[in-house]
Amino acid sequence: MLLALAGYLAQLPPSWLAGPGLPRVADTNRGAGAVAALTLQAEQIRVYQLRNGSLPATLEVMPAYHSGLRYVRSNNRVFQLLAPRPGGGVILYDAARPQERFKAAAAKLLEKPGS
Amino acid sequence: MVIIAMLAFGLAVAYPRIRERAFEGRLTQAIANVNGVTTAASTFLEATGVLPAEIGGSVPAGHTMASPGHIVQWELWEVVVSPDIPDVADDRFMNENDLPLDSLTIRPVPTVHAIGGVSVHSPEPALLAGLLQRYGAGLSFIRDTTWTMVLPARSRPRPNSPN
Repeated sequence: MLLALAGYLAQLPPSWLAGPGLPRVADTNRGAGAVAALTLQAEQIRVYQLRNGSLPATLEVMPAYHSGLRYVRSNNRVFQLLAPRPGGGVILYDAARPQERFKAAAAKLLEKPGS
Repeated sequence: MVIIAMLAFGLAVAYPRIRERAFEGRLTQAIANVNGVTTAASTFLEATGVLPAEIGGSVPAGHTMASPGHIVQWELWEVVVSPDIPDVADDRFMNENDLPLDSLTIRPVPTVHAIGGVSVHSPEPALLAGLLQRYGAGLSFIRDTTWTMVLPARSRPRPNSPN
């Protein structure tokens, strides 16, 4: 009887016993993280472009880059970055028309002027 | 058999608290390591005006870069800063005839500054979530198995001529 109760408590502890539990990462946090990573990466590409007069051929040629991002160069001045979206799909950063959420992320992380 | 059952029951009751205590210990160590890195970086910046390329050798004693369950990494990125274009309506840029000074040449030159950050790599999502709660989502974020915090301090302008 006690063993059965112990097994039950181990598998399905009541809230008063389990307490608040360990913190969890919400999908919204992961989505915000992808936006932040794209914003940071885009800024590194801008620095490369400023120094070299052209966009990098790949992300790996830059001193700092985030793994797992896809880089697409439209021409010598415009690029896109893609990151997996939590739950499916992708998050797109278009250097020609960055969305407001990227401008907001740049304002927070990089102290850049917001929208 | 009864003793074993009682021990099992006691363990089942105590396990959540044991797990929380163990997690709090890991989180405390991670926070201490992060603070050690940020302190070392801030000290270096105050002394030299630039952010360090590496932290490893200057991290204060007791704050390791690698601990059981996580690895702390110093990050360095660069930011393009475009200066404000001077307002030609400002009296400082006008002559006595209310015309722009002849010597006034508007040539905003963007500069490159370095910004630093700290990353914690860990396969434990709860640890990453705990760091996000501790330091806030304003300057930190989580991606995959990494929590990253961007430090607000910037270095002096860096050369932005081609390498």
